[in-house]
Amino acid sequence: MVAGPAVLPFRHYVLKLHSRCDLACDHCYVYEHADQSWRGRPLALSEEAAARIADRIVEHTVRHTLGRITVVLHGGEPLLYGAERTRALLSLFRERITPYTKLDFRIHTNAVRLDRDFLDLFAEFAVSVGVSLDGDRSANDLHRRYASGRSSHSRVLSALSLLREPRYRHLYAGILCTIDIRNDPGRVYEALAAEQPPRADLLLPHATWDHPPLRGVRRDEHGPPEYAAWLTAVYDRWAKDGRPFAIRTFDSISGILRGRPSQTESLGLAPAALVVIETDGSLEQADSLKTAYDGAGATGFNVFEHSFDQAAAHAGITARQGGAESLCATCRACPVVEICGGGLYAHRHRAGSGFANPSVYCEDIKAMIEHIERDETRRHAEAAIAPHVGSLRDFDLLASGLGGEDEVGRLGAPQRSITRELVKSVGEQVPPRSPFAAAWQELVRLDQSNPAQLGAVLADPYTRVWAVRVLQREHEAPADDELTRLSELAAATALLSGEAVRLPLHVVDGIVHLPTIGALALGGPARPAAIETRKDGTATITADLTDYEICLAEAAVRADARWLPTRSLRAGSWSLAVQDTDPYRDCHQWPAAGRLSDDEARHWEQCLGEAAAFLEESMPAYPPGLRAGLSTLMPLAPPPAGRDLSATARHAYGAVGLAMPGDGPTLALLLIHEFQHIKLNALLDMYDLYDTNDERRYYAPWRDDPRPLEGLLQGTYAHLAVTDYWRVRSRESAAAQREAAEIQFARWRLHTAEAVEELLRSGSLTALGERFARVMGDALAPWLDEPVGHGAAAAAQQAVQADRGAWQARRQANAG
Amino acid sequence: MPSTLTQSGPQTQVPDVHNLPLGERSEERLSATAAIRERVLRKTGSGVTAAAFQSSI
Ligand code: SF4
Repeated sequence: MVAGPAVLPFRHYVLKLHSRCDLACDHCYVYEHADQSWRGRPLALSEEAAARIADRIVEHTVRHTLGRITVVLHGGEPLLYGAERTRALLSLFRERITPYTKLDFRIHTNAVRLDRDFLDLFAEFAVSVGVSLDGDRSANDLHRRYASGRSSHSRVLSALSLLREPRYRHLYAGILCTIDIRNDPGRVYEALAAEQPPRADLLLPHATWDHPPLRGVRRDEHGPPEYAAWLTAVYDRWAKDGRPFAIRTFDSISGILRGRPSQTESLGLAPAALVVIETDGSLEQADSLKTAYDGAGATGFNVFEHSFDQAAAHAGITARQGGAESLCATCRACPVVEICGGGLYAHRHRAGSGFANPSVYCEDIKAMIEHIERDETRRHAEAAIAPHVGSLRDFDLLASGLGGEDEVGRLGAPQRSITRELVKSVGEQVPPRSPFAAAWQELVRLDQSNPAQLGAVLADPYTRVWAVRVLQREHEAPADDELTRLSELAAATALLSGEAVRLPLHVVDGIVHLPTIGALALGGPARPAAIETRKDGTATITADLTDYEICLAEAAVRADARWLPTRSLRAGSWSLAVQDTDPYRDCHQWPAAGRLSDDEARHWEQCLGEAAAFLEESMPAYPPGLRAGLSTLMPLAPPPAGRDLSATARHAYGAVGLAMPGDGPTLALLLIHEFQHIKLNALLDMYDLYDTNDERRYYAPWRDDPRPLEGLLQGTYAHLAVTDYWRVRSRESAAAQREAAEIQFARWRLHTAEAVEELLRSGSLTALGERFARVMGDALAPWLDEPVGHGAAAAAQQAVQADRGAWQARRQANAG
Repeated sequence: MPSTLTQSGPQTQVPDVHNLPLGERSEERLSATAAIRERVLRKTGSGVTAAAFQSSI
């Protein structure tokens, strides 16, 4: 069951801190447009209103179990609120709201007052900063001036250069640029690009049918209308430059063309989930409505007397959430309505017909979408590299909880593509003067001369983890202690290939790690080192003026205090690499163990042998898939006695993190459970199974807390195998243990069936996701009819009811 | 709109580059790399948070 009642909850709270501005931009909707409600508002948000808002947000968030919300500090000019009051407000919000949900802060500012004091404050509270800038100096001066007429341009540029400093760069959300067709689009583009924003928004100036936008400038009679011409000129430059930063309007259109949800309210039909809170605590709809008519944004509600639920049910707000049905007839019949969504709500207004019109920018939007669509189709036809193609047969078999050598084997090719391209992305980010530029060149060369060996090295699960970590910090050049991995990959490949290379290294965590081969434990701080490999399969690592020799032929057998070879655990036809030295392995939910002792490694091997024997004998459908897809064991630090720990990591395909379990059958259970996540992670890389924008939380029978949709999907798939395990155990165990196994079987089949239902009810699965859930349900169905002992059935039923009752009680307590 | 279900099987969202040279820098390759990066690094739900900015300016 989905938590919370039917109104679409607010996830974005635009908070007016100060109702005045220190600039007097003539295109600003707040002061220069129809709605003059600002005149009657208090200058600044009071402490009392702020506290009330925080409480109302908590109330709304808990009621709708929202996993994440955004508070946007806005104005007027929010920096006029002053650093001290802003700090008090951020602390108050953090204190009151974060116990209940993840809270993201943003600020939208003209930046003329943005200094280090503010930025330090924003760094402390992780407030991301969006800055208004309309282009180069002349473009910006056209509107963005002080009341005296003085230009604000140079102050904004110095604020942006502060934001680009490494210590603040992560706060830089982007630039908001309001279009004026009198400005040259190429120069505006260049001015934005020069500020290196992570993203930019190009905003159509606010206008309505009664107050139409400026036209007749640069109009080519045979070309598209003015705003389309301006935007497509920017688009063409940006596409030619290789899309160096995100431009939301364009990305949004491309995204929707590819079937992804819209990113902006004015494009596509994704419902608006935002509310504006004025300095007096009154609740309003999207600010842009102020262009329409005086009082257009008003809801008549305020935080002192009304809840956000009441505002969410307001006709003006629900009208904007109705999707295609709530649009005018022209838009409903429009071929690009899925992309355009009828334009920004405010831009549709006309006295008399209200908002039941196409956007005043309709012709521009159509022409722009067509231009982008043509361009994408052309580029796709000319340029696209075909995606991997899956098979529905494989998909269904995997969805049923199984998958043999072939089906699981075929999950590997997309994984190889992903790891290669991520490594390539890092390689191409190496600064040209870095010593590690040579490592990237070596990798490119070895890929040509020894592709099989490089493939084997790149199959190591933690290389992707490393690459993701480097790439996630979008705007910092990778450091030597990260780039050394390129050398390590190249050196490992060279060793396996009998190639001679000489490369720089960096000692990280006291270790030089040669993926798939082993690690040299040097200890001590991070410092440079070097490696030389030779054609005879030997290598020398030089660190601190000392040479350490490695011989590949002996590498696996000649362990000593320094050389820690990658071990393989073998059990019959099973083989698992043990990863206990890679500095990037510690990415599972629980901490990694250190290097295994020889005794521990033997114990693992014995336990694996028992698990393999159990599975081969009793669950023979599982081992072929496991052998094809499970490559690596990453030992976890031992948990408190009596607990079993196991975990996979999203980016480590093929690896399972495990603390040493008590016996073989328990290890078998943990392996098949975790292997479900491994398979599903690979499928999620390949396909969209659910809407990632669904932030609701769902009941997951195996958890105390409500889970996001992916968590529910992952858990359901894992418990499909868990149910199967207990089903088998309930048949095989000696009489004494049979009943315990039967209770587990009866309990897990009910839980899993309920979870499948919950998934299907979510309404957020894609067609393939729904197919996946249905196939899981089909696999489970016959087990629901299997007889279990009377006592076991009753005990399981009781346990299921108790789980659900406890969950409901908790939910009500939160909501109350 | 492209369909995910084709006759040969579902198209994945992963460009097939596993046999292409690592160092290739053609335009199509760059866009394949970018597509994979975007898919793997994409943060859940990042799309919607943008609404506040667009509508509130
Ligand atoms: S505003 Fe114009 S382009 Fe947009 S949906 Fe309506 S008719 Fe189509």
